Amino acid sequence: MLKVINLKKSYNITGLYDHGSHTVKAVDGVDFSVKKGSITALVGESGSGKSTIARCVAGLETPDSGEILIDGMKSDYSTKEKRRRVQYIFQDTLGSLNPRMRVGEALAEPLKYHFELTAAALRDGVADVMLSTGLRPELSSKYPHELSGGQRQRVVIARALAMKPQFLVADEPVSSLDVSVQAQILKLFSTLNEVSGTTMLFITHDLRVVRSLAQDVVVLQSGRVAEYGQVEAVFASPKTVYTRTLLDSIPGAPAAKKKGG
Amino acid sequence: MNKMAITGSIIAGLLVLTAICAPQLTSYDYKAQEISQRLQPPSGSHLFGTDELGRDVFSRMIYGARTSISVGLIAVFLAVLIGVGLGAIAGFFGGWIDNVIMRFVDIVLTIPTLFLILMLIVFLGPSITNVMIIIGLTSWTDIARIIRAEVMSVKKLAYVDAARLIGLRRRDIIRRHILPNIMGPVFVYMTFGISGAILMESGLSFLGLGVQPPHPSWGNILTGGKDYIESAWWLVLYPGAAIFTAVFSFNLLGEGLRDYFNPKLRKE
Amino acid sequence: MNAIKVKDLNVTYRLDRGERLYAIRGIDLSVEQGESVAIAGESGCGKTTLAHALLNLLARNSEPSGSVVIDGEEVLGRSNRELEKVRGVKAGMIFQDPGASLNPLFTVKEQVEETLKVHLRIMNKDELEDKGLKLLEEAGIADNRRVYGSYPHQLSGGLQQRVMTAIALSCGPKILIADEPTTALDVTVQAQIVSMLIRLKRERGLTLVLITHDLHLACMLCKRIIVMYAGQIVEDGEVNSAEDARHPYTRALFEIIPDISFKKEFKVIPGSVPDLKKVENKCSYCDRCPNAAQKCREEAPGLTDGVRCWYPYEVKR
Repeated sequence: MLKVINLKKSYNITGLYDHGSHTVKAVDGVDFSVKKGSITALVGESGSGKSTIARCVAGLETPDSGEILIDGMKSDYSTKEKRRRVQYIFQDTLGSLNPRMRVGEALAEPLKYHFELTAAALRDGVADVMLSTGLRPELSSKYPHELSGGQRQRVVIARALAMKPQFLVADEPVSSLDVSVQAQILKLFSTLNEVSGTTMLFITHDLRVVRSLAQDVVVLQSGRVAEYGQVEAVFASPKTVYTRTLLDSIPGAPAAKKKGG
Repeated sequence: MNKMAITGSIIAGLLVLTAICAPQLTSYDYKAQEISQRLQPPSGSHLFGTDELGRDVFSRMIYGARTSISVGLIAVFLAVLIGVGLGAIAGFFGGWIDNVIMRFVDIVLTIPTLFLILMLIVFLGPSITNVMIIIGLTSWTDIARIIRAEVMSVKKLAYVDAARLIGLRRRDIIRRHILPNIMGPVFVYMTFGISGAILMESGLSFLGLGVQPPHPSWGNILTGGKDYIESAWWLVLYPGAAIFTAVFSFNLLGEGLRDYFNPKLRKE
Repeated sequence: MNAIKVKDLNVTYRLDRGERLYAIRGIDLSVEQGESVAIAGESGCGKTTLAHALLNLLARNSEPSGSVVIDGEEVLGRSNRELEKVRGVKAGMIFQDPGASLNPLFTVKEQVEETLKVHLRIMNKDELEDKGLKLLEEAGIADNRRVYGSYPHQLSGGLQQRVMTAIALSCGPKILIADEPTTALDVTVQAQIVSMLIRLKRERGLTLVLITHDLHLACMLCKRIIVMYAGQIVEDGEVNSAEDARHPYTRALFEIIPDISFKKEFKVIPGSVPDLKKVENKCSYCDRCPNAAQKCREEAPGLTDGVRCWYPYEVKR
């Protein structure tokens, strides 16, 4: 479904006071692929380049070099139809919703834009995506800041789903949420994958989430792939020290169970 | 809406209403001189007394409100038009366009405002229209900077990215997602700008460079009264109080709007 | 003497339009000298309000009542001036976002030395620097000289949290309150901060109060776990896993965290935390509880034997 080949992207950092500028290689030659209907997790610490890859795949940024193939074709977001296929879910739920748009308007916008709908069909469409993401209908008249973090994330997901994407990129969609809400949203993602067969690239720094959600995992370290394979295999016998460290750092992991008293 | 904004808008609304209904509120002609009645203190027949030419101060005050408030509104409208336009262009496009516009703003800012105003009045001559134009032309720089900064920060927000993901065209993104979110500061600036312009008009008229007699404005009523300050207090008290009230109410409205448009304060 | 003694603490927030939010409802809590306690729960359960009440750092629109005694000193109803001898001296505090707690305009040196000057009245420059560098070293910063001269933005999140800890401990408090100290950090850094806290606790004999939503993390640092729900303590005891838990909420909090060792079904707590603007006479968890019975909806349970539930799970201790 998705194939990323030798992806590279660097940023120029210009100092405010010192006049020298330097280049940071955010992503430095990354290859991996995502099978149709599966969830692949992209893990790594902050600064490992995982968000940059996600934004490149979603077409929010242009890579310096390398290729992103979707269904065997070079990625292209220039037409409405092609843009619709790949959607992206943000970590910052408050920031990714226009503060002046009610939930209903925010959800109607993509529907109106992509499908020619009558007013009644539009209403049904909004009701449908709200239902499928577990949002109560009366929330459609609320503004984003009136919602809880979990409800907002559901709106963001609903908005992406409204476009009936084939591929979903989720950039740390639960890390800013409360534990119990995290579980609810993760369950939503897992249901989406099982029921509608949506292919996903799931970015996270939490290996516990990877274990419970994804089939394949790409471990990133400073812009390069440290390890890549099936979740079971990678977790059972990590090949690199870095993956080992990540696994050992998890609270509740066997190695981390030391007691202070 | 908070209390400050409501109080401010009620007072400002009353002032505007007074200005609009001026002919209905008084039976005196603001220009009619009656030398026999000169310098009368406030009484039943002349609510605010009369001036040195025997004109009814109340009539002059409420017709003066027309002048002062319309100068405020129109000057600010002009400033907003220029400021929002240039600021938004600079913010949206960035790069060299931004550079050219902002350097132009810097140049305008280096010219002392009062000096520029005096120069322009020398060329254009003092009149209500010129006062409006001059105030408008000298006060757009702040709003241009505010708008540029707002556009630049909103442009970076995730919901603008989200709009790109939908595939919206650039002009739809600007119209639906960026502009509505920068209107808050514009309204806030406008209310502060109105009070600033009213003060500026009063100052210019006080110096004799603004609205020319016999046409009344709060500034030139004050000028006329300053020579009689010891014997006829009402000639300076009422215009002074009017300027104070107008500036205070618009500032209050501005403060209130600033809080209102700040989503962080609104959430509480 | 107890390090912390809280008696019948209630905290109410005044909201707009005369509404009130009952954030903390009748909390009694005592923590022994040298004990480690984790306070866990979802957001909106009052755990951060409780942490702030411990040092009287509550927001202005709050109305606390009851008593909070830190190392023999009452903190509620005291002025900021009077609290100077408690905050930082008897109890230090570290926060979730170390970047926001450090002043971006001053170097680490200036910020560490400021607290030393204010509280310990050390004025000698060399002495200040010696003491400051030692504090950083104690907080596990290896190249303490470089960090000492740096500005906060030049440091990573982990280093910032270490610096915050050094500052919090600079006046030698016996109590450390840590409010979600690792939530904003990467996993590997999280683990490092946890081991730093474990070491400091041992070396300094600290009483540690850890506020967290991650029960696994809580178990790594503390034996005693206090679970809060809707402004009340619902369970207080030694809990290590879902099987140890007696309250259904505690059990659910363990189960919703995805497990690393095996793949399993997603567990979810249905619904959300109750609205604390109104208080009803029923168990506040009954709407989400799988075991809720008639009695739970008719009468609020009290905290008996360390659990606030009419039908707690039987657990062998």
